Amino acid sequence: MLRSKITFIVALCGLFLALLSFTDVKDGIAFVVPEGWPAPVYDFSKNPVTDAGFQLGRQLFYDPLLSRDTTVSCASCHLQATGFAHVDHALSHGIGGRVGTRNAPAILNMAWSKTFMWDGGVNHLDMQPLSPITSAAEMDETMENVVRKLNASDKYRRLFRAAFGDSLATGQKTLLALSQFVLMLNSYNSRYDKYIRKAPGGEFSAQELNGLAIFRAHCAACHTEPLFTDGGFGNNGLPVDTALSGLRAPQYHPKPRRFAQIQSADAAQHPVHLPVHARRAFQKTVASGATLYPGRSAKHNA
Amino acid sequence: MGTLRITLVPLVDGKPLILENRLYHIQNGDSLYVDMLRFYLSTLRLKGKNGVVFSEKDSYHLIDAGEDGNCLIALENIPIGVYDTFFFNVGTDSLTNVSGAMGGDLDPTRGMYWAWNTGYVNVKIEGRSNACNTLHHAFTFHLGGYMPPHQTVRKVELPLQNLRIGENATTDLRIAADLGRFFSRLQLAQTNSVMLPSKQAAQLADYFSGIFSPE
Ligand code: HEC
Ligand code: HEC
Repeated sequence: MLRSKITFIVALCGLFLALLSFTDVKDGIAFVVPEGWPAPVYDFSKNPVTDAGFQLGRQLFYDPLLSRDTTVSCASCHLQATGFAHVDHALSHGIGGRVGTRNAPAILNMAWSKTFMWDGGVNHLDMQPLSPITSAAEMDETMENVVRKLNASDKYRRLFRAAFGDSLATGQKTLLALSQFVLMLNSYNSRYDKYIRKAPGGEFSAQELNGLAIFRAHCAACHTEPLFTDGGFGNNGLPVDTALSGLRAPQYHPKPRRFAQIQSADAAQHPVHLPVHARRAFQKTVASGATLYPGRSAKHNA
Repeated sequence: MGTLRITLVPLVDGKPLILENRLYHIQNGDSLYVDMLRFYLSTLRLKGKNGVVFSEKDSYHLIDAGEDGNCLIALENIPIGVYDTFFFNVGTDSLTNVSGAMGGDLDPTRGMYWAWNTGYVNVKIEGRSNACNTLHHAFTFHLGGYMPPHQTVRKVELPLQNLRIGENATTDLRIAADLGRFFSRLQLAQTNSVMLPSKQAAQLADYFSGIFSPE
């Protein structure tokens, strides 16, 4: 019994390790829809990814100028080394060490997502940065002021001109550039992908094949290949943590995308999320207007 | 082709709206100060007697009654002729709300966008009244929401009296926006804080869409 449990876990770990691999982006940026994948949700015709736009987005992503006191960047919580997630923390912390009510998920394959955040509270990738920028526990800044700071910087005026043909920074252009960067953080060249494409380097050991079979039998209904999510919401079965009083519905989480990395908190919770009682329940709550803005400063969301 | 210069004239019961330090007595008994009035007008259209329809392209305007605000809209390149109906939306349609980062008056730096439960705030009305049992007696109406069943965008149709657009000429049109008509339909003691898409927001959007008339 114990032995089979261990085999199960080892096999799954093997599969996850096979999924760990990132595309590196060099010159000549282009968004690619991998063979056999669905069409992306993101409308690239409205915001085509260009080298200059990507470079501007990248500068912005790593720049603490986006926060009120220039201490926190997007990368403070979304660390490249760990799939742009925040490991070692159950809850992400932002400005002045303030601890929020949620943990930063990995940012991967965002072009295929319809909604963002654990509760789906953001309806478009472009709009996602507004939440951390204006959250009192994260960057505690206003979009107006970010744009003011960008326009005061010669470096950014140059980068905006290169990206958009006009050196004036606006909220729109700042968000579009951040999207261009985030859209390029993709995982589709892992050993798993090569295995699926029957490409060189895609050989699976017997153990890994076993893991894939178990995964397809027990997990793939929710973690649908190739993105490893069906984009829906599930109840992870955990009781509401009353210590996180600002957090309205922590039990409803979107299914994660690829297992680029397993967050410590989520990994610990994982065994209990299997019974799903409330698929899409959260979206219904959102539609009925009953949702509140968990953990955000009332000032900015009100 | 001609130009139509539209001026929105914010009023309270027929008196000019002055923000922050003028007390207004509404017919329903409430007395109040207004600190902020901002709203979107979109999809502006004019219909002519002969069936001509003029629709403004990329038609989004943030109207702001503040001192440094904006109550002017210039519609350009209108075919010459006589027009008898002015159509517009109060607020932004659902497509605008799900289309990502927009520019101009829709830029998120304009302070009319919800970061969480994302979408545009179509109308902001803020002020104070002793009737409000709230911090600083404040009332706050942030009306937005694009998802059924609580959409808050409203269509408005105003009859015009033979509005003539002449070649290379600018015609003026003044539209009164009388907040008295909004406040008289509620009691601030009961209704003073609406900041989420909801049934109440949809109802207040109905009231708000009734404040416009050609001056
Ligand atoms: C203080 C930590 C912190 C900072 C700074 C931060 N984020 Fe996040 N990010 C989070 C957390 C926490 C979540 C999950 C939020 C939730 O569900 O409430 C998240 C979610 C996201 C998501 C959605 C992922 C998904 O799958 O739904 C994206 C994209 C993202 N952040 C991008 C950014 C960008 C771009 C910036 C910089 C402008 C940024 N983040 C700054 C913590 C942070
Ligand atoms: C009924 C739907 C469902 C099934 C079946 C399911 N999961 Fe999950 N899984 C979820 C949801 C929802 C989450 C996010 C919830 C959370 O983090 O608390 C999740 C999260 C995870 C995570 C964390 C990923 C991350 O980036 O944080 C891993 C790893 C995972 N699942 C693996 C598995 C494995 C392995 C199986 C099969 C043994 C499985 N899941 C079966 C719904 C499911």
